[in-house]
Amino acid sequence: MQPKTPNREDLVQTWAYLEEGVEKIMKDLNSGVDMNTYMGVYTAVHNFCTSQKAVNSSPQTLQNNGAVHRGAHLLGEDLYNNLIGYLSRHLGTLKTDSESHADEALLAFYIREWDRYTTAAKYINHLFRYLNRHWVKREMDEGKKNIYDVYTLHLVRWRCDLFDHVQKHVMDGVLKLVEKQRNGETIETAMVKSIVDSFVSLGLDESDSSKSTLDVYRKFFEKPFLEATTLYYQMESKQFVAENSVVEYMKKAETRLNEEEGRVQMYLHPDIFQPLMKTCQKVLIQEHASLLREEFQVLLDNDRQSDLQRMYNLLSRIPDGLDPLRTKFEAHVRRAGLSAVDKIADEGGDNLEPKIYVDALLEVHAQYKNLVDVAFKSEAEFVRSLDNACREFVNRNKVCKSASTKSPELLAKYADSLLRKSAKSAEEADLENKLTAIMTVFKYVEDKDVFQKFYSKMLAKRLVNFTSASDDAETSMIGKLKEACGFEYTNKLQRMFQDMQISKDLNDSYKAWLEGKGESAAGGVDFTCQVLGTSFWPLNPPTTPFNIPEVIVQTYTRFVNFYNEKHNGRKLTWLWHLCKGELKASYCKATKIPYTFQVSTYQMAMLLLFNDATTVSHEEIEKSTGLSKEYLEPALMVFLKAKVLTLVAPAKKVEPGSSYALNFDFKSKKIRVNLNMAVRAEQKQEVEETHKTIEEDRKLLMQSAIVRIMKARKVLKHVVLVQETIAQIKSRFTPKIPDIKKCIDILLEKEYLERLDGERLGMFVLKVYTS
Amino acid sequence: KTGPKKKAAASPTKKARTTTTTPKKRANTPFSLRTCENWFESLEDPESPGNITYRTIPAWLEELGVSAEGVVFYVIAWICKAKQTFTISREEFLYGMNTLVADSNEALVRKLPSMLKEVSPSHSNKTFDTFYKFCFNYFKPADVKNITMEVAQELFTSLLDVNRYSLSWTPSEENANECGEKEGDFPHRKAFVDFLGQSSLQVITRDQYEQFLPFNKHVPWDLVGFNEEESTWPTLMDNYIAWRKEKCP
Repeated sequence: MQPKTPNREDLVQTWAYLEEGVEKIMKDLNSGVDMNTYMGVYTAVHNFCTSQKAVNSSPQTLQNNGAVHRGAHLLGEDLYNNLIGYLSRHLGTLKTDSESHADEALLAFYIREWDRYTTAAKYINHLFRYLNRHWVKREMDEGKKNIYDVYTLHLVRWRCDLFDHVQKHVMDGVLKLVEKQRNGETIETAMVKSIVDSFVSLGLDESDSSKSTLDVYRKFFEKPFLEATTLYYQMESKQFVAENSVVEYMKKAETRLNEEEGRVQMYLHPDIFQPLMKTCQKVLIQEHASLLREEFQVLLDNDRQSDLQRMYNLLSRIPDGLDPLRTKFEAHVRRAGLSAVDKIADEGGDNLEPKIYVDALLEVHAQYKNLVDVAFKSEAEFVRSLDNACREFVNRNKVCKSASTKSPELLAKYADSLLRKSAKSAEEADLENKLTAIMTVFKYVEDKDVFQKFYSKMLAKRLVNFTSASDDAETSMIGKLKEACGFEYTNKLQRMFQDMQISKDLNDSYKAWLEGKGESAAGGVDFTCQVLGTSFWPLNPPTTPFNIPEVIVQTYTRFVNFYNEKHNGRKLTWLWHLCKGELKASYCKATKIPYTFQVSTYQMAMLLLFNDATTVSHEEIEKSTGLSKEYLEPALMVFLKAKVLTLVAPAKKVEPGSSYALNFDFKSKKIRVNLNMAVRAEQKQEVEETHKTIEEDRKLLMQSAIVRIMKARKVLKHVVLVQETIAQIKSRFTPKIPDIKKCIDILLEKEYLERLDGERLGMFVLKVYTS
Repeated sequence: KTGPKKKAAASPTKKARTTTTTPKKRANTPFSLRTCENWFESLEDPESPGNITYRTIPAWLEELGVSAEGVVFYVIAWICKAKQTFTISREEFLYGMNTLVADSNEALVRKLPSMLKEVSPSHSNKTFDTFYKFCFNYFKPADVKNITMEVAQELFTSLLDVNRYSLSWTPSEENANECGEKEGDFPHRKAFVDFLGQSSLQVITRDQYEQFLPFNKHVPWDLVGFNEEESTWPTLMDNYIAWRKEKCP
């Protein structure tokens, strides 16, 4: 049944033979091709292509040997062209057949035929290998266009004779299928995948058949696919938004985006991922961005964290999607902070508790810090917006209205209340947390120098009065400040602790010195003192004259002698207003155990007068203590209020002319009676003084910064000098330009600086001409 | 032109004598040191020997026939390189008059118009600049750095008024222009003095005084182009501008 291998020289015969084999492979591969047919075809191709070498009788070849080559050439081409003719016929039939199918049936047909065709192509390619290896190769080497190896030829023909005609219908089918899936129906995804693969296979690189490109796929699949996607989601989202809330829409969009991502993984080419996501984001997010952003404020107001997170996720996918949110967020946080402060400011009035104030600030910060962390993934720009907002409401709010330095003042007071011994001292861990929280607010405080001033004042008090709750906590707090502001900021604070230690040793050696002299704690006065470096401690010498009471004169002189002996040439200033003592009152009738009065040195001096007389006049007290009115009268009032002293009739109040009598019927529930109370007026005055010193310090700070800059730069433009001064000082406080100018004026007047060129406006130069 | 400094430092009597014996080129104005010395003695304050002082100056100016409120005396003090406010010492006087080649009131009156012209106020006149700066030092007490507000107002008012650089000027000519001149080289002169008058400042520093010249040059009367943010003028000028804006917006 197998026809003989055809005459190698007869083209018609050879092709008829070959076509039969090819047809079988193409149409009926499944029933198998026997070895003889296979070998026959292969041999026929070989024979045909080599036939000219065996023919000797041909006159042309006798004449010219070169024609041998040309003959083989031409004959290869005949086979090639015949193959093209065959393929065109085959594909023409398929094209006609395809017209009877539509949609899924068409897809099935296309895939089936494609699979069969490409499988056959592989075999045929193999059978025609001789042609490939010789004729095709030579043609291609010679640079002929549109000559392909047999397999590629199949693909090229498919594309020309079938694909170009049916691709649109096929794509319609694909898109309908995908739309079905988007509408929630189940589809056979493998079908789409096969189509994608076939489209990709058709992407031939014209210059190199071993490579493929995605051009065909991009043009005929990706483009219509993206267009259909845009259209689909435009319709859907428009309708959805009209019928549902924004929050619902965000959920929908989120789901859709996830679905599309899954679609790529499941059956699309990975190359489509970027463009598809971009398309979806544009339609689903970008086109509804303003709607989403409008909802942002509502979500913030209602603290809808998960919805905010959803919105963040969506808008973060489009370019510049988040910027408007940041602005709104910043404004919102600022408003929240301001209204929180407004509320407590109204409640607290002038005597606002530092704790309440700081807690209010922290609460707002914590709430939105949490929001940024959870919903906005701690994104750097949102963190910055939060910081900006916090800086605003920490430094400029209702409480700060009276004085811009109120925030650092209250913060420092709060720190003091935590670090000072009190009845309800916080747990160690809790205290540490609170100190950390203070640093959170501190970070936002612009006037860090004000905090420093108040903090060091109050630290000095804690140390001098031994009311610090814990050394560890103090150290930890200073460590935090040092970390935030550097060594210079905490230098003096640390020196204060050192002085305390030195004083402790000093008291010990004083005792030893006394013992060495054979004197006990003479006069029944138990005495300790601290010697503190003037330049590190924010303490001022007393503002009132004071006559040291007789009882402690001896102690006083002795210590002065001791100290001069030890450190010759150092000057001691006694801060009487900070000294205190205890007096035993053995005169009271109400108790057998004598009361102990805890008093200031000034009060001590007053009470001691009653050792000699039970009634003393105002003038006598004034004369013998030497105290000025501001100190004398409040102290007396404390005695009257506590009923340690009573007014002698007809006196009605503390004033010159009154007399005071010792109250022998004094009663107290406690044995130790604290009479050493700071007077409110005193506290207020102290705050005012602190503010005043801050102003002075700032001037000095600015001036020294200016001189420092000028020393380094020698000659500088006015504008640059101002800018650099701001830059240097910013970490402590924000200087105002007019204040800097005033400092420049002062330095000019002091002749530290000179205007080099008074001629050209804006070109002023300053010059240090004293070192 | 002023003579070299050593001339003043050397004993004037000795030096002057040689001058009289060998007449100078300017023969039509012979200078006699002896005449000059006699002249000085006629002006000398008996309570402060060796000096012409505020006690004798008004009478002298009257003899010269010029207003005491003009700038003539300042110019004389400048020529003499006088050091102490409202005082010209014998040495300073002889040095100055020698430089000017004047040995009598009449000779001085003849010389003054050209001197006044030489120092007349304008931005382009460098001699005025040195004269202006001299006045700060002359009216500044030796042990302080600033001049008093009263003196400053007087200096701004008279030194920057070109009309006063004339022998015939009298105070009645002032007040002709109510709201300052607004034109000329020193448009801010009067308004600035008014501003100083209502401020609580006590003194004017050298920087403020000296900067008032370029300030007039660079800041027009209508303040166009002045930018508060970028101003490099002393704070006093900024305050003046703020005051001006508030006064007549």
